[in-house]
Amino acid sequence: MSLEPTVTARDLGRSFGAFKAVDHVSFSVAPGEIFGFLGSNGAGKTTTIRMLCGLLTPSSGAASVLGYDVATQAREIKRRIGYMSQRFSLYGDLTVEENLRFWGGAYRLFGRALAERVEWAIGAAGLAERRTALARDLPGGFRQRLALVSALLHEPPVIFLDEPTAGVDPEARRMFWDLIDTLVERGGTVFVTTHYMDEAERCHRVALMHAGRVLALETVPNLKRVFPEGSVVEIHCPRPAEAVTVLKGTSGVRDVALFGDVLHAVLSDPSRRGGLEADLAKGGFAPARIDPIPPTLEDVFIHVIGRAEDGGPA
Amino acid sequence: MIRRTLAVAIKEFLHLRRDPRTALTLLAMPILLIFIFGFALSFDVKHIRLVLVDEDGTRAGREVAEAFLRSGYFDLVSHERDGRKLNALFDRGRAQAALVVPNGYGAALADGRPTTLQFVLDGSDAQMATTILAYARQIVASISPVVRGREGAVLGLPVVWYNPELSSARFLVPGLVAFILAITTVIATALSVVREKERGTMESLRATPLFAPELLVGKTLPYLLVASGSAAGSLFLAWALFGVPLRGSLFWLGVVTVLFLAGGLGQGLFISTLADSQQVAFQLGLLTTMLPTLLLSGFIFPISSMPTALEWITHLIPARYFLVALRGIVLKGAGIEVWWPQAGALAIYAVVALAAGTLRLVRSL
Repeated sequence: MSLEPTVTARDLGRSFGAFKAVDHVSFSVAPGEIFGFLGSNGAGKTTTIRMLCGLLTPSSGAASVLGYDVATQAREIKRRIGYMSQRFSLYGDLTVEENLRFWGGAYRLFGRALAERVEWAIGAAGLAERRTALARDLPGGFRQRLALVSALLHEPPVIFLDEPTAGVDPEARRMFWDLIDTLVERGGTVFVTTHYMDEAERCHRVALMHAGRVLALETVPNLKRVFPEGSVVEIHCPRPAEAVTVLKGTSGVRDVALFGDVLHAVLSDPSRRGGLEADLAKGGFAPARIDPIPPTLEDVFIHVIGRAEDGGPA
Repeated sequence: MIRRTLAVAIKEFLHLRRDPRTALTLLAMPILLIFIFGFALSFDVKHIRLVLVDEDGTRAGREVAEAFLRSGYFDLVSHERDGRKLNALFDRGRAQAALVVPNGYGAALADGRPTTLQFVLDGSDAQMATTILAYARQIVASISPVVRGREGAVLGLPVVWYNPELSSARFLVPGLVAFILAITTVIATALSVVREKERGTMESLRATPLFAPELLVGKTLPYLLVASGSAAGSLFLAWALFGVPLRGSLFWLGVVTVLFLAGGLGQGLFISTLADSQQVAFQLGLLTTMLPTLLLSGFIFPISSMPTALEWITHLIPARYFLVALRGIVLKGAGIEVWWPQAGALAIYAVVALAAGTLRLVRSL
């Protein structure tokens, strides 16, 4: 495997008028890596991916994919990458097979090579019994997988996925990711944007993006090490929504957020746990149970964004 | 290159097949229009209510009146000795035309002196009046030789070429072909591009290594085929139903048609860059093709009778040029030496529209 990175970005930026959608972003993606861009809507993930795919010219900085410059060699890049856009990229009024044949043709596959790849795609997406179904009649999960294999027909060494499983149920999402894992086992590189934490957990490295900037870029375990052992706790107590406001004003609590009907809190000192229980009881939130938990990526995300907005170092 | 274009064309053709309403509209609309324009909107005027005012009362006067009635266009509603009631008959709409045979007409003819007939028309419907006048001229001309045989008296002798029956169908069908082609190419092209934008598939298309020309030609090819089929069908129907001949060369007909279609294609692409929804694209397409082609191309209303300012605007309507060439080829069998200025104008339209449409689209992509 070559040491040359598959994707590199240096001070990559893109403005729309005065608005900086992507603000001096730098990273590199190694071959065989699943690289995730995690961020909320409007963080600049899609703008970044569109620049990398040669669909949008950068306003500043530079980026290359497979050694080709995104600003000047877009066509070379387009021939060699797969891209699955955020929006539904299939023709609903065409059948599974017709969709695949069209996208294959657009990626310069013809004749026997095309037929072979279409068969591969139908098998890989588990669509053998639905090959003559119209794409719009497919259940969401199948559609997503069809869109993915459509982008893989020309066997690209790197694939860009922009929020590939938005609006798909968790089971279908898991099947989708199993497909991606087999791809990476064969040496493929995956660049994916998402706002699902479970999806980000499956990436080798994750860049946390917020307001156009990359706030952190690490492996998932390393990202979670921003918190000292035992400082992330789960709190079960009555009226959790009210408890959030109370805890926000309590000393020693850095972050608190509601997850369903439980609270996640980040403590500045893990030994503050006993005192916190007393504080909650005083506020009328007894009985409260406080357990240390391993931090989730979402805890990290909220924490990092909070620090960035307070003006601290990201 | 050709295979990738074909891949796009096949896809677009499949869309058309899955959406039979659009395909049917593209094919059925021309047939419907041919019927409407050919039969219902006919400018042929029949059963014209004619009043005969025979002040003369001689045989010569009666001969003229008989010629009018024999023509089949006129119905005699009243026979008067003088013109006193004429105003009232016109006012009440009982009469559309009156033939006045003046006192002394027969005598003048017998003496070989020049004389005149008077023809009175209700001009409130100018179009109809023009048509009726044309009939009257022809009838008078047809009896002129007989009249002339009686020495000397010369009456006007109009001769109508190419369309001796002055049939509306012959006049309208070439315009109809232009009309159909303008609408279908512009709207179908604009819609097919905007649809991709609306669906979100445009983004995926852009990420493929397809070249813009492969995409655009591939996308519009099926619509061009359908539009050409419509045009051929319209010409065939016009021949079968109304006896409109195709006198000129099919080759040159093809050449000017392709120029016109290419321009429409460019115009459609341009519209697709302005519109974000199919609805807007449809309205823009309709607005820029249907109204100008209907009103300002000479399809129905003669350009020569328009006010100067309006006449100037007609120079910007591509259908105007196409129509002249088309009528020339279809009705007169005229060669390129006759309509080359129009072909040149169409070529300019094609190049400008295609360049503007493609450039804007590629830039907006």
